[in-house]
Amino acid sequence: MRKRGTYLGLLMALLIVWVAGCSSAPAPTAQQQPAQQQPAQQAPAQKPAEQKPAEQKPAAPAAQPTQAPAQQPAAPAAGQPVKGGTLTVSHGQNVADTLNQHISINTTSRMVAAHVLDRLVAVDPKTGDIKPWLAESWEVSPDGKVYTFKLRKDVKFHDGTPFNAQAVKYNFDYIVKPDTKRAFAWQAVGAEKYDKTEVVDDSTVKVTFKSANPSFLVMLSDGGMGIDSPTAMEKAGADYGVKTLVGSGPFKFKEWVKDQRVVLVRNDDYKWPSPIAKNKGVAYLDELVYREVPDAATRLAALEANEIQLVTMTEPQVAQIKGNKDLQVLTTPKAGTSRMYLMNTAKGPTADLKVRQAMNYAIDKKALLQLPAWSNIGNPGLAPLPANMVPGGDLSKLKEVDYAYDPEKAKALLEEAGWKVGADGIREKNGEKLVLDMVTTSTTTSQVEPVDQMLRKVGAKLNIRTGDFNFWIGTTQKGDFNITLMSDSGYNGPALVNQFFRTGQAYNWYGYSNKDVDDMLDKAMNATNQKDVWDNIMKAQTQVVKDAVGVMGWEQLYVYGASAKVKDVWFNEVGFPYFFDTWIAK
Amino acid sequence: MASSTLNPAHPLAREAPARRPQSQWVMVFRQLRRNRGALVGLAIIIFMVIVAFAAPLIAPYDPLEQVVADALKPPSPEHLFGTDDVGRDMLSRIIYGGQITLRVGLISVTIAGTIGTLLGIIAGFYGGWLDTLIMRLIDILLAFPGLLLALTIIAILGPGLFNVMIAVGIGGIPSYTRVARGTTLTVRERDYVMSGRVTGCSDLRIMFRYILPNVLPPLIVLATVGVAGAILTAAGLSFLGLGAQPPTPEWGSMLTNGRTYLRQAWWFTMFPGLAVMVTVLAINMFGDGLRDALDPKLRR
Repeated sequence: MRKRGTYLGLLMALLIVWVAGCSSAPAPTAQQQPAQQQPAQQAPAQKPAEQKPAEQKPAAPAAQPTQAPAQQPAAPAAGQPVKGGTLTVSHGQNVADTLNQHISINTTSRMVAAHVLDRLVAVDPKTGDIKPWLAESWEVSPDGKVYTFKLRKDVKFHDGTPFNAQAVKYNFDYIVKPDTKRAFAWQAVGAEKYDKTEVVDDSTVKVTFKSANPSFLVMLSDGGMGIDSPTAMEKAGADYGVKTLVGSGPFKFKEWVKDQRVVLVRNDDYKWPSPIAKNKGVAYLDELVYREVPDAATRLAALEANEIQLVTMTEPQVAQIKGNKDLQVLTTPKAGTSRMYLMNTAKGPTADLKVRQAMNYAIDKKALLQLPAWSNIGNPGLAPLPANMVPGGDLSKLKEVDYAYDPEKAKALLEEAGWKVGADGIREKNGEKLVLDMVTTSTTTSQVEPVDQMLRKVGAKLNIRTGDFNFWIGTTQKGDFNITLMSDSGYNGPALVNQFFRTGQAYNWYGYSNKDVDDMLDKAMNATNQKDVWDNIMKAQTQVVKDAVGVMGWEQLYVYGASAKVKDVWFNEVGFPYFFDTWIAK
Repeated sequence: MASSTLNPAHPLAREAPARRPQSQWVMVFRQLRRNRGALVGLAIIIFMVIVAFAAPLIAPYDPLEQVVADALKPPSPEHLFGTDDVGRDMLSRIIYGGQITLRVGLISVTIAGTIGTLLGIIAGFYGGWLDTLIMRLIDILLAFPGLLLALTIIAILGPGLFNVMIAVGIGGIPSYTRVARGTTLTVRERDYVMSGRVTGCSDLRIMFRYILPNVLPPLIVLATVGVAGAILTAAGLSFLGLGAQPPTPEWGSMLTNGRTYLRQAWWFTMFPGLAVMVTVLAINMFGDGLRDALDPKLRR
């Protein structure tokens, strides 16, 4: 007992010395290039390349990386892509299960597989338009049940076998096997509605659903819906996705060492790039390595040491690399809902609309974002769906009903609602104090503590209850809270709004029930065209904001840190980075 | 404490027959005085207790007051220990955190000590199937590592500082039970216990008047060191986000919040870490000294 205590004390001392050491000596940021070949003249690989990769011109002050936000000035670099080099990437999550997308439920797995597997169609992240890829064209029957695809004839899988209608049928039939039910692909393909796939001829395939499946084409563009080589899948059996992964993509699978890395190498025979890529030839990178580094601080340190060239970051880390000329911060909106402080409309003080409105006026969303927990990036939330999730990013209607920060109005509303200031500055009504139960996970305390401070200024306060995810979801599901910090990811915006705000729906743990909103959501969910869907969704969102079901928090981002030498990273429509266009400046 | 009721048949008294009989605690204090480490530890503990009690007078700021503009400011004359990520004064938070730390340490040890000692005395006094039952239960408890046991209990009770005290308390029970039982076994056959029986004292009276005072010394040492262990475990649980609820200025949860900004704001983790370290070290040093002082074999 005694000894153990002393040792623990010593251990702590060591830890502190180490921490102090770290902070006093800034980590070296020497740029050590991974071993690379001289660029030399790049032999025009295949096909007429629109941008002929040229020799690197040193230090011409030049273009911003495609997605770079204003955070970091781009380091001077030649604007022309050069071939060669290894890009090492690390995401927060590991490839946890398998790279076989017919089975995987893992997001990182999809991000990785997207480089090995091509899809039938591509979605332009800027416009949301659906473009042909492995499918040259397609027809949708008027009832939305039958999709007929004309396929490219020149596509070969990495194992040399041809891509054809049989391959597509094999893939879809595999996805809807009942034993893959939990998989992302199962949901993406709409397996519950799936009827059959028929091979019309070698390059024509017909997919039939039992009922209309309007999201099918959009979902087909996701990395999780890539087309694998049936031959390779049959051959590898249970090892498929573990020891091998064979698609037709710009990178070939080399190895996956679980919990360590996935290594992909360039496919030099690649001739069928996604139409939305700038690159019309083969990939520029020799190798694409996904390293698994679960801890965010370690990832950032590895980025600074140039062991890794692109990492996922947390918002608070952004400030840490500010001013580092060798690094850039890339952000892209996250697919899903805004991060919302949702209020219990069924019980407690927040059952009163006036109290909920007061909370909205009392919380200064803009001021929150300036705190270190947000590093001053991102936008305040206006609606359950952030701008990136609505057509044309148009939330102007929601701006009209937004609550501007106005503590005086908040106070007045609370007075109206009968909450009078007590002796300790906290309001009370019928002997009950205006102390609101805020439930969240313990990793998000710095996202709720400032709210407490803001509420104190209008005479309310929070009783913050934190725990692990299970505590949060258990407590929230029971409705045992006044406020809960909540969001969900996904790209089916209308379905998300429905899940959050329709009476009795999956996530509606705060007891919100508005008949008008239910009607709008019903109309949206059953609409046959996109305009009707969105008209109703926007109306429903507006009503939700008017009913002050929550404080709309902020629009979430994916934040990446990258070496300034990494150019032309772009993100697909759901915010996953795609490295086909990417090159490393010398 | 038990000094006034100390039985002349007490082992300490017996083993030092040449000396003038004096209060056990006076002797203990004399011993302690010779142990420099223990004195330093005691001084730090006393300092901590004073600071914790006088927190409202000493702390330069309200530990909960957030000044957004001052977020993550390094140590300066205004904020000696810097500020945290929502602009609260770290020094004030650490001072107030002392109150919580002391409370956690004392309450959990009280829980562990009371229940553990009671069970131990009962087991040792009655023996037989009751002894077997209690001790096997204690063995089961002992089979789990302390932190794991605490995590399990918190998973059942839910997160929160009070539940942490209970969890750490329950985790501490086995060692008190084992020590109390062992000492009881030796004490219960002593003549003064026998005489108690002969004169018709009730079991309760024998256990509390005759046995308890004599099993206390080793338990006190255990409890002192136990406070340090409890503080460390509680800080660990808060670090995992299962203990103190925000905005409570608890050292462990301050550490975990600071971890995010480890490279950007060293003061955010260093000062709470130092506070935990110094406290635990001081209590351990004092506990060591106390053990030596209470050990008759080491007495000079």
